[in-house]
Amino acid sequence: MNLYGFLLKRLPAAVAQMLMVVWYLLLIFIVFRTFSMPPDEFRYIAL
Amino acid sequence: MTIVSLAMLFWMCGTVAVCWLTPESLQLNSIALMSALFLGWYSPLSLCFLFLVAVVSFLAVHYHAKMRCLPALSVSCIAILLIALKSHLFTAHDKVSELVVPLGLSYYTLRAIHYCIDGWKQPLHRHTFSEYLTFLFFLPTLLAGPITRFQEFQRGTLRRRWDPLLFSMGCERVLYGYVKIVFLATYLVSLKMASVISGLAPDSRFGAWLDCLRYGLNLYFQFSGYSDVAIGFALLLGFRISENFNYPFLARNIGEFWQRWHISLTNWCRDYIYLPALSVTRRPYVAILVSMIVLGLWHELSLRYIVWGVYHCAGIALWRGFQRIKGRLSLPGGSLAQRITTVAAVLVTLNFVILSFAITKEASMQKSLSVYATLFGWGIK
Repeated sequence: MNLYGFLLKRLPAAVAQMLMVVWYLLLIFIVFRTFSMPPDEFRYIAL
Repeated sequence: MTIVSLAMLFWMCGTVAVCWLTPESLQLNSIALMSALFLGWYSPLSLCFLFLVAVVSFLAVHYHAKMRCLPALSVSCIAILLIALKSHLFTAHDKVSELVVPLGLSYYTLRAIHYCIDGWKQPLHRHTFSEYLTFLFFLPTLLAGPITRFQEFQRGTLRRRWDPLLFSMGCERVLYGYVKIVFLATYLVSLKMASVISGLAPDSRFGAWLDCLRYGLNLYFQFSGYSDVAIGFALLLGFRISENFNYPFLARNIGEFWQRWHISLTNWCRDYIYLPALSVTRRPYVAILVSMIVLGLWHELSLRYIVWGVYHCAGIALWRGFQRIKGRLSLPGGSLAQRITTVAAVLVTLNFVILSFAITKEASMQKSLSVYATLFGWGIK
């Protein structure tokens, strides 16, 4: 079950949708904050 | 060119936009064209290599009825190209190595070899060269896999259609992939966990173990993140591609670990290395050894990856041996005992895998031995 399905089972639809919006905004914020950091030790891509 | 770059995001958005804005009959060609433009832009020589591999493998499959040796010849040529480029045979000179950046070489050569062998074994569904080019040039899986199969791709081309639900799933998957790569792997594991470990005693037994764990977590989050981005990107284009990771660190034995870690590569090795080796030698342990060494050498042509392959082969052999004698042992029954056994099995497998990272995380075997010396308290350093 995905996160939205999990929330929908336990909370009203409007609250579940709002929480999902907050969740995605948080993830997008985290990605943009850390996007410029160079990944290291990853060998698969450099083949 | 890495997946974590604004340029890659630009190409991703551009490819999705071009794909859905072109008429349906031209959508597959437009995806292939965008991939070719991408390769041509970043590494024209890579584009030449990929096109060469595509032509050689397509001709081998389509004319093997006239010349039976063509598929074997084509597989050999592709394998030689892969080995030569991986061993820097052509790129020993700095200036040449700057020019030759074979993007995605390890992935598309395996896809081309699969196409040759499957096409030789039994006729594939009717397809054109442009369909095969779309498969081989498929941008989502071009750089870091998963190693998809042509039959699966053909089914995908027949099923695909615009679906808003699939599109939103794709966006979500790409986002989760980037979170894994840039936040979990790079920020949390590589940066924060590394500073915590260096704050402890890095030369202690626990510090060395934690460093191996950190390397493994970083590798898992990065690579599964790349696979998530690839799967999400494919969903944005209307394709469903197979999963590449399934919580490998929760595996209960080393065999199960390899069914959960880089699944597409394991399946490729099973079908094209393990089963042929087994049918020739009739010795499962020899076939496992050959498969694991090939698997290691695929990552890097070096002694440490051969040792890594042998290490995993030894693990699988031990586990198979244990499976044989398990029936004769009187293990305790009951659900609690079973749960404890499962947790113990997961911990043993996890530690076995973490210890194998000591071989690959260091630049030389000598340094790896020094890590083992710290881990087990041996005298050599």
